[in-house]
Amino acid sequence: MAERRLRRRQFAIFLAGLLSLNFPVLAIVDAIRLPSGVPLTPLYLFTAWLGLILLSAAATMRPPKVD
Amino acid sequence: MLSASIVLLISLLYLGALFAIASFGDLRADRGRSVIRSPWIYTLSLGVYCTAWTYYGSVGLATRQGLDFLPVFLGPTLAALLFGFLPLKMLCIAKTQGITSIADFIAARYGKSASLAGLVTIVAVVSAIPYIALQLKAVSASVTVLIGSDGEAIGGADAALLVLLLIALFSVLFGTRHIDATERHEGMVLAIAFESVVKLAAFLIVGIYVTYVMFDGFGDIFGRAARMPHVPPLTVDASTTGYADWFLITALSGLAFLFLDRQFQVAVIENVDEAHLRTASWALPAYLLAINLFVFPIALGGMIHGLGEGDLFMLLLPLASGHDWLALIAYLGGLSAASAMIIVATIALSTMVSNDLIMPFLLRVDWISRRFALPRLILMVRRAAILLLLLLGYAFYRLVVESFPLVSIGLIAFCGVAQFAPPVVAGLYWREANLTGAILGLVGGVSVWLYTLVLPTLAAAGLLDAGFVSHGAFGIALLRPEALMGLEGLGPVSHAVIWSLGVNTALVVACGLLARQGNLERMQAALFVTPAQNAAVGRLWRGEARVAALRGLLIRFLGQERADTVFAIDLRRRGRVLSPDEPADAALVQRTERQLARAIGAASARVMVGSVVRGEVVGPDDLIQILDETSRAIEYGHRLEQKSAALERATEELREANERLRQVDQLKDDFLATVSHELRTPLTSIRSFSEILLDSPDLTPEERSTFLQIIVRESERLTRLINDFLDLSKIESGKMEWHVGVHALADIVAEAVAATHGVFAERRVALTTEIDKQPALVRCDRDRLVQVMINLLSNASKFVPEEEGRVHVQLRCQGGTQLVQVADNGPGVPAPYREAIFEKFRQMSGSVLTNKPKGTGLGLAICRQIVEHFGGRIWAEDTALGGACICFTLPAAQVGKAAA
Repeated sequence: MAERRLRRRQFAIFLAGLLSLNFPVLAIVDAIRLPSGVPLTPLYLFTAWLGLILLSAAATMRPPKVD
Repeated sequence: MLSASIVLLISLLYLGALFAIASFGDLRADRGRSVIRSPWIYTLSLGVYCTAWTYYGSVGLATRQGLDFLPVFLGPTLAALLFGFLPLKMLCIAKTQGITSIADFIAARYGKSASLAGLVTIVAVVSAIPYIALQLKAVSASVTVLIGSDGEAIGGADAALLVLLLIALFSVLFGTRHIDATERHEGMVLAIAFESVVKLAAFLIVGIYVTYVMFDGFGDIFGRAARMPHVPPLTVDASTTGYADWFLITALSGLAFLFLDRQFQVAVIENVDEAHLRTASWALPAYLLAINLFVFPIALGGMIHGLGEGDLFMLLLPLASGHDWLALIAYLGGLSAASAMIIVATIALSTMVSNDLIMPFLLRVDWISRRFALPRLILMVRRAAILLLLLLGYAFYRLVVESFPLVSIGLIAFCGVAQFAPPVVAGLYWREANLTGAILGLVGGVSVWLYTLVLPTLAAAGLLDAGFVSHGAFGIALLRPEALMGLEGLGPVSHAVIWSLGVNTALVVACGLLARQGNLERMQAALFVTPAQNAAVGRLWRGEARVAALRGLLIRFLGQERADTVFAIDLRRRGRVLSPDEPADAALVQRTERQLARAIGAASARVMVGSVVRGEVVGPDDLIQILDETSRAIEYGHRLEQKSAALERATEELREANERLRQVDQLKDDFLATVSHELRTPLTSIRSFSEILLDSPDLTPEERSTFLQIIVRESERLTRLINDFLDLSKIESGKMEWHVGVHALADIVAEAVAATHGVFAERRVALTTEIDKQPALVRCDRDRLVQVMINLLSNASKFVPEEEGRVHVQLRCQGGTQLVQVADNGPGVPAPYREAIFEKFRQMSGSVLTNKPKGTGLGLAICRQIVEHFGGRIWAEDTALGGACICFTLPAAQVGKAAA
């Protein structure tokens, strides 16, 4: 049961990654500029990437409790 | 610039360190103290994905196309998030099936097909050779940058060739130690993990130096870059690819990460513990993030300094700032990235080439297998394959690759290995996927890949006439390789990905729906799609094989020692030694095949085992038939069991019925005996006294009167008895005429008390009554209920002691029922007999139940019949008077109904 939950979480993180790192989210991010005039996209991509890693680490390092 | 001798010395020292680390790893493994049993070592070994292409090429790509270098790492990041799914399944199956390579894996799924294994191997080699060439180019270019014009001073020896030869030596020493290809190369894995640390550390050191020493941080670099005339695009939309290409390259990189032969080698074959996948699922993306963190600063820094081509900014920036030592560190990082890829790829490919291309051919040539010791021959072939692959890579580098940027070759190779995705994914999740589909899909996909990507690339390098690219094959515009069927607007790689994977997948699916599977194929499909449920399928085999033949096969391929180990395991399992002439069972045949597969691959092992085994695996049709028969037998058995149970139940019911009948018969006999006795007793008495009266004319008038009274009393008793019989018989047979009406129960009780008053007075028994003041109406036959009351009162009077006897009658209304209690101070009725006294001819005499009634023995039985007829209940219980209390209830009559 715990293994199944963990896999469900991992799949949810995968879907979140797929959505956050592709169109249309990227199209929205592309349109945003930082105060310095540099596009937000590089910062966003690395931040989203780091977010996925942290989520995945949290999911695997703290497996769901067994019912 | 550095001198060539220093670069050479550093390179040799670094590679020497690799040899030392690998030797240490193998030494520890030989002593049973593995150093790779760590999820971190496993994760770092997966870092072999980051090759020289990544190390140098990402920076180059960032200078030209901005963010386009990222999908190559985002794809593996997303794929790593799925480690708990497809890779885990692949890992489990590979371990149970004794898989040696990606080619072996795919071939094993599709009926251990040697043709498919060969095809996969060819595709892997075709994809890998340019990739190896790419690494050599990176090493060569980096050496050239470091030593500048001094490059000619290495005595004519090309730096790349020197590195290549050292890597070949390493691969032979640490990659072909054992004949068992599934055995882990612990030294090699440790060295690869070390190389991952080196390249990451080198990248971070250079990145930090450029960002914070050469510039004032990210803001400074990006700010100064913004003022340049040509800035690389920093949005996905503005890059040369756009969102569609971004997505497709991400997907392609993810697929390549999963199905690259070298990734399969480290992720599956070298895996020690499945749980390591869990850590790697986030630690590997973290590694990829870290190694890309400074790509933009280095790319933009190089552009700001105007250092030219971006591919070697990692070296040029330190050199430009006068820090040769830093350039040397960067060079070592590039060397580690290149050497790691080449080592793992050549080891993985050499196994595939040996098992799936060369050995199947050699094994068909009798004189070769007779003349050479096969274990030695297999290792020789693998070592030769390593050298051949490296030389092919070198030749490709010298002839072709120098014309290309690093990245383009890498993506072309990715697209090639991505062709393994449809047969692997379908093979793992779709049971109908078959060999025809896998072969046709691979051939179709690879053909499209060659046509849409490889040939245009060669044409662009001037190696082919570029006319077909612009005008299409045969001048047909729809056949333009980079705009096939008019599909335009995508980058060449994305275009090739769509067409090649589309054709491949379509053929796999179409054949899966239309073509049939062979027996072995269907069995393997079951083992791959649902491995947990079909663990026993592999044991289904029928045929003839002698133990000696299997042992001979193992000795021939694996050597005496290994064969002895296999049979020692068998001995432990069976608890006895098998004689050579003994027929082998399915388990031994399977174990032999698996052991052989570890050395020569599943397809060749299948052929070799087939050469000594007569018979075949039980095919699915046979299996289904066996299952059907078994199911039928089970069902038949189940039905028999049900019938048997039903028969048992019927027998039990019959036995119980028979017992009841026997009891009834006994009761009837008892009843007849009792009735006869009861009738005969008064009749005898009447007859005797009548005879006395007849025969004795001299009797006194008093005597005559006494005798006549006895005759009258016995006659009355006889009449009563007969009346009781008749009443009971009528009630039981339902022929009793009931005169039902609504009556006051108090009147009935009073009438009965009055009727029996004489009896009580005669025996001087005190009779008291307690009648509820509330009018108690019941629906009943008044005469019959009076009969019940009289019966109960007569019984009570008979069982209480004379003079001291006390009988108390109580009538109460309890809810919807009327309760009548007749209590006495007689001997009472013990609990076990309280039910029996309501049976015919069963009553109490003293304190014991007896068949010798004082009355007819039918009174209480009649009472129960009457009470129950009117919906009431009758029972016996204890009383405060110390004797018995016979109680009965009757439902109270409704007033409305009573009026009606």
